[in-house]
Amino acid sequence: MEFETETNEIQVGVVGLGLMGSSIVVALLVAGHPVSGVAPLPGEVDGALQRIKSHLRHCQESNLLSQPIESYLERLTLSEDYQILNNCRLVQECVVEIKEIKAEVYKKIHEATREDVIVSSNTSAIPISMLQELSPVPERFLGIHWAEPAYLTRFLEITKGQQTSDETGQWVFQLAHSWDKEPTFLQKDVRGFVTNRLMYAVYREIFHLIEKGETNLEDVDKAWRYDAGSWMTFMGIFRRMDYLGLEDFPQICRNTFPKLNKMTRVPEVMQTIADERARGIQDGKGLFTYSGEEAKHWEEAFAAFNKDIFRLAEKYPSRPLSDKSEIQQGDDK
Amino acid sequence: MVAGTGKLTEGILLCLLQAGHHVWWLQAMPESGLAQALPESIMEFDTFDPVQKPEGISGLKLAVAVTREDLQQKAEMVAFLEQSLAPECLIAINSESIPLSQIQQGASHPGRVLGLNWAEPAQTTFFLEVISNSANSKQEITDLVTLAREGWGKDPYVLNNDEGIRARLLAALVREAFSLIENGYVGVEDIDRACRNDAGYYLPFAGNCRYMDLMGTWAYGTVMADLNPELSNATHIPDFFEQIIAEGGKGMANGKGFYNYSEEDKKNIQESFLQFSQEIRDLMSKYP
Repeated sequence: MEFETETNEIQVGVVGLGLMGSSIVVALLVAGHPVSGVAPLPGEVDGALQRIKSHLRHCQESNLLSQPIESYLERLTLSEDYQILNNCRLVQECVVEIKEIKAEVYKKIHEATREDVIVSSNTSAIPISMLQELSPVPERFLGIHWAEPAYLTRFLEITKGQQTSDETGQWVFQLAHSWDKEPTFLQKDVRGFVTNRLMYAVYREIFHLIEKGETNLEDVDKAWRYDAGSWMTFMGIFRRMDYLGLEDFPQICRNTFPKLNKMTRVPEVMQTIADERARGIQDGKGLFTYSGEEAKHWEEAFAAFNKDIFRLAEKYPSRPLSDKSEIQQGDDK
Repeated sequence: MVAGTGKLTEGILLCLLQAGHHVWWLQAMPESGLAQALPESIMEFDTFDPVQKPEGISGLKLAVAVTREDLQQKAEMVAFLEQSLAPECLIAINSESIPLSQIQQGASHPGRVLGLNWAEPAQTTFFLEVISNSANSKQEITDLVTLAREGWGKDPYVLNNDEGIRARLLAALVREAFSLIENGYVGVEDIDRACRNDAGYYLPFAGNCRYMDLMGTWAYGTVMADLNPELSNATHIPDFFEQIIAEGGKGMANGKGFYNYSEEDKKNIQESFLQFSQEIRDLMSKYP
């Protein structure tokens, strides 16, 4: 598939310049786009500009910039006026998770900009198929979900809604590759993101094993950290199975799947934590307990680790295989 | 003594040799003929001895065995080793999904047989899963754990109830991944990207329980209320995987699996992963 357009020729917009919005603006600037940022709430522009500058400095420290910070800022326009979106090919919505507000934003975007604009939402709460009904042009609407900080992670989930056209999906999927992302492409809506569903499936089994007394928090963390944590930055589960050899997996699946938990409720310990709104290292109460000093220690260690793991992951980007013809693809059924 | 073949066995050999043990490698398995050539990195140890039979070696304390996930092969392996090993020599065999008691069943000394699972590459990972049951001696299990922690560079955990948990956690992930593909939401590559770019960024630091605490815990409970009823409960293997197996796909080994690999792809990935494995071990050892 050919995708010849240069990012510096594609004007993109971001509506909503809160923490996530500012971070996305920077990701798009770094990818080479001219960016128009709209602050729908009065008085937001100044704070957003400060955040964007600070993020750009962070990018510079992380060696992500090929030009001086000023040249990125020259390609940025911020305003409370939707008219600055007039030449945008793609506008990312990044406002609060309230349907009525989002509907208003979509209407304003379409009034201000070109007819063929694609609008995407960063929502993590509302199904794309539902949101796109609020858009004047549902076939050119889809979900693009970023992880924080958007300019640093490789994470991106692109979700087609029921009415999103194939062209729209493919155009965004191709474009996202020039953002230095490794997008997961969802052919249709599903509750929770793919990453969430995979990990919550593991959580469900973890709490089942603990409730049954088979193991405890410390040991189950060891099992998962030392196994999956030893390869998951490098490869996903299917590549891992290929790497280990597939021969034993049908047997392991046949033996194990029927034993796996089917719990539909919240595990007891998590229900208690949810009821108490226990916030882990933030208030010392979580699955484990923490003294003030321990919590601080964990927080600092995790911050230091984050820097290390970004550096390490960067050294191992996914490399294309020589033959991609028979890779299993999800198809729209 | 180590009995087995393949990549995992090579890693175990390296791990035990690096730990300073004298290691006998049993080449001839009950059902197999000639084993594969071993890498130079193993052969160069003075303390390494390939042998044809498990006989005539005095003072052996531990036999580590690796077989396919097949009860009969495991039982035969145990029987074969028991013929020649002194009764006090432990037999630690891999088992992802077969209960230990079933493997012990045919043994003359069931209490000497325990489950021991590794994570590839075994020479760098901290992972070690020890599976025991009421037939085993608590003291012997404790001693083995101490040895692995102090000598082998492992941070082991013990299950006392006949079965391991690693396979369960992986299977939970695989089951949901299968279901998302089977129902047309995503493809294999999308799942792999999702793994790499989310959990791949925190799992080397902490398991999921600790991770929830780092992120503020309680919200996970509310998401579980929404998601748990919707997660896959499937017990079957999806057609697309059955088909890969039916067509003889063995993964990277023969270039056909969930992906196709050329010889060059295979070499690149293996070399690169080995380097990564050392780096991730170094990184993990910096953190609690």
